[in-house]
Amino acid sequence: MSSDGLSTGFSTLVAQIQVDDHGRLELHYLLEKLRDYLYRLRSGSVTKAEIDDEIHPGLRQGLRMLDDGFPVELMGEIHYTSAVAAGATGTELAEQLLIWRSMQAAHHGESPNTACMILETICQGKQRG
Amino acid sequence: MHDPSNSPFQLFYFGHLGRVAISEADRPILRQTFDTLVKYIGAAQWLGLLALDDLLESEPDPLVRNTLQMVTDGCDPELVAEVLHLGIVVDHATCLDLAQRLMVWRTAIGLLQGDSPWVIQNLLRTWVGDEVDWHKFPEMEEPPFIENPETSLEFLISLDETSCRAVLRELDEQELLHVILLGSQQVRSVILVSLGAYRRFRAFEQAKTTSLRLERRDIPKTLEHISFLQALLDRRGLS
Repeated sequence: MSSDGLSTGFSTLVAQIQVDDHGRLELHYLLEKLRDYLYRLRSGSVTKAEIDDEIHPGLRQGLRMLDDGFPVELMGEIHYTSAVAAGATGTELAEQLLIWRSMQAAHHGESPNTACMILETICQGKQRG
Repeated sequence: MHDPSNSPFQLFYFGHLGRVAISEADRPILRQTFDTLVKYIGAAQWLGLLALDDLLESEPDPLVRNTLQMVTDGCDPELVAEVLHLGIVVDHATCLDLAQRLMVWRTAIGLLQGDSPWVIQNLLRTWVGDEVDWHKFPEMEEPPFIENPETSLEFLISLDETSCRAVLRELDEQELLHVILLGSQQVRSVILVSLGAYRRFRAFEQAKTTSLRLERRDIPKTLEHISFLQALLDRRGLS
C-alpha cells in the first residue's frame, strides 16, 4: 500500500479507536519510548541485540520488521490486522497505531521532531476522547 | 503492478477493519474460509491464473467464487474493492461476515497487486488466531543468473555497506530483482549481505514465481536508475 493510502487508512483508524484513562497513561509511556527510538534510529545507534531485548512485543516486532526491510505500509497492515483479529482492546490498537506511525517515520527518514508531534497529537486526541 | 496511490481501497479496508470484533466461536468458520483461500493462492502462485479460473468453476461459496473470478478476469483492484464495499454496506454485514469478506478481499487484492503469497497467507492466518512468526522466512533457492553484458552494476562492489544499503533502499521490488538476476556472483554476494531478511526472501520468491513473466523491457530502466544513483554517490564522493 502506498504511503498516501497509509495516511488515509491511518486517519480512519485513529478516529475509530476509544481509549480509557489507564490506556492513556500507557500510550504516554509508549510515546516516550518511541521518541527515544526515533532519535536513535535516525543516528543508526539501535542494535539488533537491543531490539531483541525490547520488552514491548508490538514494538519489538515493528523494529525487527524495519530491520528486515518489510515495506512499511505492509508492516502497518500486518500489525493492525493481527491486533484486530486477536481481539485487541482500544488501547492496544492505539499502541499499534503509534508504533506503525513511528516505523513509517523512521523508514522514510522523517524528522523525529515532526514524527513526535504527530504521535503526541494522536495521544492528545485520545485524551479528549 | 497496481499503484494504489490516492485510492479509496485503503479507506474501505481500514474503515471496515476497525469495526471487526472476532469471537472464538467464529474461528472455525474463518478457518474454513482460510483453507479455501490458501488453496486458491497456491494455485495462482504455482499454476497461474488460468488454472485458478478452472478451479473456481466448482467453488460452492459464491463470495469466494465471484471475487476471485474478478482476479482471473484481470479487474482493476479498485473495482474489486468497490464491489465488496458495496456488498458490505448493502447487506449490513455481521462481524463474522465482515471478517470473511475482508479475508476474501485481501486475497483478491493481493493476487492482483502481485503481493507475496507468503505474506497473503500469513495475513489470513492471523484471522484464524494462529501465531505467525513474521521473521521466519521460508527457505528459497537462489535464482539463476541472467547473462548480462552490462557492467554498470560492478560499482556496487566498491561501496561500503552503508552506501550499498542506501542504494538498495532506493530500488523497488522489481528493480532489486533485476539487479540480483543481472549482477555477477560478486555483485550478488554484496547485495545479499546488505539486504534485510524480508527483501532478500521476497526477491528470491519473486524470482521463482515470476521468472516467466519477468518484465525484461524494464531492465534498461533499472540500469538507468542504478547509473543515476552511482552518479549521485560520485558527486558526494562516496563511490
